[in-house]
Amino acid sequence: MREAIFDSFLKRADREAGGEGCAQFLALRDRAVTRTAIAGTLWPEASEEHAHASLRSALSRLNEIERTVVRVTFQDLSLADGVSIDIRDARLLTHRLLNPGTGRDSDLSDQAIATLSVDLLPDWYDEWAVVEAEDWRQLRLHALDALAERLTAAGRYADATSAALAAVKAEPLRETAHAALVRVYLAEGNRAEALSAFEHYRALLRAELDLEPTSLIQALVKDLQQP
Amino acid sequence: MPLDHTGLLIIRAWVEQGSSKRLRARIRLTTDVAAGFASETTLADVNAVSAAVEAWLQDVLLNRRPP
Repeated sequence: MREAIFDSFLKRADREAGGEGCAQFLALRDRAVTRTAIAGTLWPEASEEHAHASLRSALSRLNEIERTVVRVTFQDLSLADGVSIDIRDARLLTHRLLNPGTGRDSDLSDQAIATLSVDLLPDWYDEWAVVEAEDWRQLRLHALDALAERLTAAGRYADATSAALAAVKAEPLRETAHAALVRVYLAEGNRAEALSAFEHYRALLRAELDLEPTSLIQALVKDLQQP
Repeated sequence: MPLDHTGLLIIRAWVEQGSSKRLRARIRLTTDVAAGFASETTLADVNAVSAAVEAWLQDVLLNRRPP
């Protein structure tokens, strides 16, 4: 059984069903969680008694899909055996990309770029969800940099450009992403695009922060600029 | 009696080595999470970040939407 945490029931239906995020929380923890821990996390401002009551109420309102993936015991909750969660696979992908020598050919794929381009639970504002979302965001930003670098080394410049642009889109003022994009264009011999990408970043940085790009990225295009 | 509301402010800060101002702080905020995030901005100065947090707290207190 496979459940997608990015854009399937874990993102939408649970809110509509009033499950209060139990399934999402368990999917992200990826292990058994005591009732006390999950109640305290999902209802941090409630007393322990009220938090437990809220948990019981939420469990009674799990929708049909959630009932099949959540295992409930007297003491704890976990995902049912055999449930596969795509955030788990996505995290493994980032770790392979960020650790040299651990990649697979299949990691250099359109699917990998698509996976790393998606925010986690973007419309959730619960404290636990925000922390998880930020953790995933950091992971995916660095993984996109690494993916762009590996695709460039493999001579797959179009895909490398997509990966670098996804990193830029995720954090427009992060210089590392812009530098990765410039490197892709330089590697494929597209000097005009490299310079254009740099100029775009410089204009953005000036407009937003009244700052200049660092010498590190300037050095990449030093020979391309007119005196 | 006005309804309770919860504000949320997230600062993601990082350092750009080699920049004349090394700090980058991406701020996403809302004064009412029920309405979603109201604004996003990036700042490069500690005092500016502090001022943004202070202004947000005032907005939360007054139940005011940020500009």
